[in-house]
Order: sequence, then C-alpha cells, then structure tokens
Amino acid sequence: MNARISAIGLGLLIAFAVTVQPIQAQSGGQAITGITFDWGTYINTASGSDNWPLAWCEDGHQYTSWGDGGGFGGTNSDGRVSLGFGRIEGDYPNFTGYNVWGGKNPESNDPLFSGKVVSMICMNGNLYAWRSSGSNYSAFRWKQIIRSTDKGRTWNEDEFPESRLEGGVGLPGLPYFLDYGQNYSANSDGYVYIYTIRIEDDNNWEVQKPGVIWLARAPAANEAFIDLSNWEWYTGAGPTWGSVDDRAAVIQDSDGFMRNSAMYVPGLNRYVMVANHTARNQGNIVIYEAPQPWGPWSVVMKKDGWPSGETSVVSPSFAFGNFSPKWLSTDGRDCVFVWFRPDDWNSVECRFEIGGTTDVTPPPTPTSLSASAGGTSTVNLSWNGVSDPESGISRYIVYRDGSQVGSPTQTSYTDSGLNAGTSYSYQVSAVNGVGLEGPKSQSASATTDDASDTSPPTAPSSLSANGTGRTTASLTWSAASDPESGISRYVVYRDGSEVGNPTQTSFNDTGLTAGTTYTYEVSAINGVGLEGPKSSSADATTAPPSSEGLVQNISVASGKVYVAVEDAFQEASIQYIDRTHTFTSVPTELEGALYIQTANDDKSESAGSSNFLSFDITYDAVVYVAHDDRLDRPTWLNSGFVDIGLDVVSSDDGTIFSLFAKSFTAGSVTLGANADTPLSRSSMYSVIVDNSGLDLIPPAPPRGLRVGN
Amino acid sequence: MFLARQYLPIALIGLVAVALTSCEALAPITQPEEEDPGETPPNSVSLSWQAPTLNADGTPLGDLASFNIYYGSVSPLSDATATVVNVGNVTTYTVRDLQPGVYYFAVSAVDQNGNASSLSDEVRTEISAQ
Repeated sequence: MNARISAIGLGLLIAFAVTVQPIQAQSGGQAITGITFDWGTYINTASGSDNWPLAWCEDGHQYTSWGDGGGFGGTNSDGRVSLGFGRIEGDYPNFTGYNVWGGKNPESNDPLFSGKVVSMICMNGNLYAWRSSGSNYSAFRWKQIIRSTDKGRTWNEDEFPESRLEGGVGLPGLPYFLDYGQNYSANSDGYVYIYTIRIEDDNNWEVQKPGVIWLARAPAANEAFIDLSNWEWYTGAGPTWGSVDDRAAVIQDSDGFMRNSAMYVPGLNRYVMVANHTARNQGNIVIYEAPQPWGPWSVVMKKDGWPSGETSVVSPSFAFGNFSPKWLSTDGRDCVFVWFRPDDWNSVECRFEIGGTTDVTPPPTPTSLSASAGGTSTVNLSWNGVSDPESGISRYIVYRDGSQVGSPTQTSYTDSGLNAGTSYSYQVSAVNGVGLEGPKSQSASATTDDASDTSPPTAPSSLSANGTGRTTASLTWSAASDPESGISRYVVYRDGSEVGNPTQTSFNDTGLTAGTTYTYEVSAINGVGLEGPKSSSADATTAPPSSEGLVQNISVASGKVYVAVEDAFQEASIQYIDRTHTFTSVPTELEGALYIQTANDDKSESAGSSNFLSFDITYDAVVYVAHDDRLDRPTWLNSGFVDIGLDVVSSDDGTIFSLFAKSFTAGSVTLGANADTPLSRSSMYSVIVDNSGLDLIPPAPPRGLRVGN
Repeated sequence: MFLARQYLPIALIGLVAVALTSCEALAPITQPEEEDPGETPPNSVSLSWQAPTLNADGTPLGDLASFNIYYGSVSPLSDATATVVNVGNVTTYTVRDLQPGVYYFAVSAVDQNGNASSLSDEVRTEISAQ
C-alpha cells in the first residue's frame, strides 16, 4: 500500500484504517530467527522531529515523545520544542498523532522543560519516561525518570531525583525500560526491568564501545523502581541478582551500543531488543531476541546502513528504533517497527520469522581461525567461511575466552577495547538461517601489544648526599613514578657525569678525592627506557685529606696527657708519650691515620674500668684499639669491638697488638682500661682513629658451617 | 704492610694430616658422632665454612678481615653466653680441649672496619667422655 500523509488540522495529521487488533498475552517461546519488512507499508512523517519511543496505555492509545521539533503537524522550526509528548490513536498504518505536551498546537499548556526521552512505559495508567537533559553526550552523564499521571498533559522534570542514574566511564548509563505491553499488563513477576549501557566516553556523543548491556530490576509496586536504591542487578545465570558492583553483562559486543529499546512480544513469549552499533546515525542496526529478559540474547538481524539495500524509499540513517507494543498480531509474528533518522518518524510493518523450519542441521565449523594483535587494545580475527545448504549462513559468533563478544556477518572481526599486553583466546561458530549455531572452531590466541609508554617518569625528589669518608659519599632519594611502565632504574650523576645505575633509591659513590665537594643529581628510567628529568641537585663533601681536628678533648682517668698525632700512624712513629718505642709494622689500610699516643705506664691503671679514656670525634670514624696479645681482652673490648685479624707490631720486643675495631658516629668515644686482670709483662694499648673510608655495612654471614672438613 | 697474626692453637687441615700419626699412636679416638674421627684430636671439634663474598646489602665485600668462632652449650649462641675466638682469615678451625658435653658452634665474618656479620647457622656436636 502507499503511505500518504495529509494534514487535517490541529495536531491531527494521520488517519488510516485499523488493521491490527490488540493482542493478548500468550505463551509460545519459539525463537525469533529472522525478520522481514513489508516496504509497501512504509510511512515517513513528522518531519523535523525525532526519537519516537512508544508506550501503550490502558486507554488503548500509544504515547510517544519527540525532541527538537514541532511534533505531529509541526516542522523542525514550526512549534519547535526541546521535548514534547504525543499520543497516537488508531492502528497501523491508519493512525493519528496528536501533540499532547509541547509542539505545534499542543493539547496541554502545562509549562515545558527541555530534555530528551527515548524510553517510555505505561503502567497503572501512568507514563514513565527516562529523560536526559539534552540530545548529546549529556545523556551519557545522567538520566532520570519523569512521570505523568494524566497521559502526558503534565510533567515535573525533577520529581524523582532518587531515580537519577549517573553514568561515568565504565559505569551503567543510558537506561531504558523493558516494555511489557499495554499498561505493563504482560508482565507477570511484578518487576520493572531496566537495561543500561556501559559508558566508555561521556564526552563523545557516539556509540559506546566496547558494548556491554547490564540489566537491573526493581518492584513495580508502589513505584519502587523509581528509587535506584531499590534496584538489584543481574549478576549471572540463574539468574542471580545483587549489587551494582557485582553486575554481569547480558549482552556484549565490541561494536558497541548507543540508544537501545527492549520489548516483550507476548504472542511469541520472546523478548526483542533494538540497538544502534558501530556508529551513530549510520543505519547500524542490530536486533536481538531472547527467551528471558537476561537472555540468552541472539542476533536476529545485524545490518550496516539499514535499510539501504532493502528499499529505495528510505535513506540509510537508522538512529534509534523500537517495536510498537500495540501494533502486534495475536500470534506475535506481525509487528510494526518505528525508528527515526534525524529528523522524522519512520515506520514499516514487519514479520518475525520463528524457528521450527525444515532446517534442523546446524552449520559446519569455521576453520583456519587466525588471531593477531591490531595494537594495544584490538585483535584482528579472520577465518574461512562455511555454508549451509538448507538455510544459509546468517552470521558468525565470536567468542573471547568463552564469552560471546561479537556476531559479524562477514568472515573477519576486530575485537576492540582490550587490555594491553594481554593474551586472549578466540573461537568462532557459524549460525544458519534458522538460528541454529554450529560447533565452535578451534581456538586461536593473540596477545595485544604492550602499552607504548611515551611519557617519561617523574624526577626523583628529596635527594640527599653526604660524604662518608675521604673517598666515599652516600646518596638517598625519594622514588620517582611512572604509571605506565614503572621505574626500572635510576641514573646517578656526579658533577654532570653518570656514575651509577642503581635500582634502589640509594647509592654509595666511591673513588672520590678527599676534601672535595661533589654535586649529585639523580634521574629515573622507566620500563621502556625513557629517562625522566633530573632531580634537584645535592652536594656532598668528602672528609678532609687530613685527620686534622678529628680528635678533640682527650680525657684520661690517670690524669696523664695523651696526644692525638694527626696523619702519622705509620712505621717508626713513636707509640707512647712516655717511651721511645716505635711501631715496626702497621696495616697498610691504616697508614696515615690519626693515632693517640697513650702512656705505657697506664698498662695496669684502673684495671677493670670501662671508662678510662674518652675523647670526641668530629666526623664519623672507625676507632681501632691495638691491644697487647698477651693480655686477655678486657670486658669493654668485647662490647661492639671486633677483632679484625690485623696486627700492629712494636719495637718493644716485637710485641704484637691485635686490632679491634668499632664504628662511631661523630661525638663522644669512651674506652676502658687496658686490662681486667693486669699482667706485669704487658703493654698499654694504642688507639687509631680513621675517617678515611667509613663503611658501616657488615659482611653477609658465612655459610656452610659444618663439623669436619 | 700486612702482617697475619699467628693463631695458636690452630689445626689447619694440612697440618692435621701431618700430626695424625702421633695423635693416633698416643690416644685412639672413639667419637662415633664425628663425621671423620680419624682426623680430629680427642676432645676437639674441627669446623669448616665458606667465606662470604658480599656485604649484607648485596654489594661486593672487599675488606673481609677475619672470622669469629662462637661456641657454647646454650643455643642460640650469643655474645653473653658463648666463647668467642677470632681465628683470622681462614675457613677451617679446630676447637680443642673441650670438656665432654653438647656444644653449639657458629661463625661470624668481620671486615676491616670492624663490622661483624650476623652469625652463621649453628651446628651441634657432642664430646663424649673418654
């Protein structure tokens, strides 16, 4: 038949004969396997206005909403409102549209407000609609339920703030109702079901990829569904329901989703969903069907550029569509699809194909599946196509790690939205013309590329540098950071030249010149080798080449005056203040250090005292006590001092003095008396103080100790 | 100039073999718990260990000076209860003239700045009454 539109006065534009009777709920349950359209019934009207979600009320009429136009009888400018609601009386194709609230010549003069609605239901005689503030990315930010208790004549834009669903990256947004027919009467479990779409980019008014659809429900009674706190979310097969944090997808498709609709078809006891995939306003339509609101959802039709190729009368720009809940045959097979392309109403009669045809043989298994990384977030798949002689191949199903992620009609697929540097396993199956799925192919795996980190790490901070001896300096700093690839190591610069590559946040610089100030900087290298900026500099000064001034304030219990002899511990130096003995052998390591000339007459003085000789050191240093081997070690010399296995020899009869060492920080040093139990034939200890290479790190412990050899 | 101290009594292994004949002739040894009783004098315990090559922080150890042997009848060994003997820079040592009883042994490495390592794992042995 030919579609014709004639304007016949105030808001009443279209009048056609009733051809489809209202249906009654009944059980069927046969899967929808396809859909055909009768392009002879195509109607294009309401030019200048778009959206057109449908809800069917107890009064027998359908209600709808449009945006940015004059509605029925208006144009894009004539009667233009941001948001309008209308009523559709009659059956398809002989229906009449009326502007109720907003638009050209509306029935209601209730105050208007702006916004957009693409999902409505009628329940208990009330209209409920999900409203966004605009027809752009603002719809990704939030949607909120508005209600009319008088068939669309009055609305309150902020009546239910408790229903505001805020989107956000990775979160559910774009809520839409599952429509259960006239006045919600086909629903039997008392729940209102709401689908949401995963928001990936709430700044871009485009299809959100990868596509994930989540399902929530809440009791219809007492309008409990209006408050988000009453929602429970589908969490898995069973079905199970839980918190939003535990939500599970009911449909996933890398091609993404945008403005969707969902409806129950009572005559078939099946659910249908219409979605916009891949790109906005390009005719990218996918129609799903399922036996339950949570699925399993199967693709009935997936097209690019629809309905181009099926009819010459409509340009390819499907943007949003829904099935009429009213214009359905009793058996559920005959339907009417209403969609918009910016900016008008489009509708056409359709027919659901159902299973049970003669083809009961599933299609063969796709072969030669190959998967390869297409970058950091995509994997490219291709396989050999198969054929089904009975009903043909309608599409393929792509599984990622066992979960369905796409349903391409061609023999290649790009899976997107993946994590970098991650391995994924894929299988593909074929679906024939009656919806039978064949076996899954052998698996093919691909690993996405590692994230290319092009931003350098931060600079290390809080660099501290200290001289720790005549030839050493110690550096510490606070770690740098690199969120992409981490820190692999640091670069230490001394006076602008690289001197070390530690992985930890400290470094000991060696081989320095005594009494010299060095300037250090540190930078970080990230996981891909990029060097970050240098830290602020820090200076370290090594100990002076001389031990001048190292020992001060010597105090001796005997009252004798000991002398610090700077830079003079070596062979032939005088050992005591009261003898002429000299050192005949000193360890090379200590040559040139400061030593304290003690008094040999003090060899038995204050026996057993732990506080005999004290002095101050002005730098961190190691104090060595050269103690007569003939004497037992006094108790104090067992406290922190260790026998380093080196000796000093005196000209006095070749007496051997063992060297005991202990590290001290700058400050006071106290040593005890020469012996706990004096021996007449013994010598007083000597003291050597060395700050020329302070090392406070002990060796690792020996290993492999055993009895025997 | 470096002068290694003379450690006595020390039974370096090479010397033990030389001394064996006279030891055995004087007093045959019966110490079944010893791994190799034939090479150790009575009431003595021979020890061996591996010298560390690194500092505790993992940096190369360049100034290893000597080892301290800790031994005593109380485990774990500590400065308070153990006898400590610096044995120089060697990796074997025989502790002599022990009274019969149970003994624990451990060893610590010392660098030239006087930094001592933590103790090695302990070993236990028993000196039998003759």
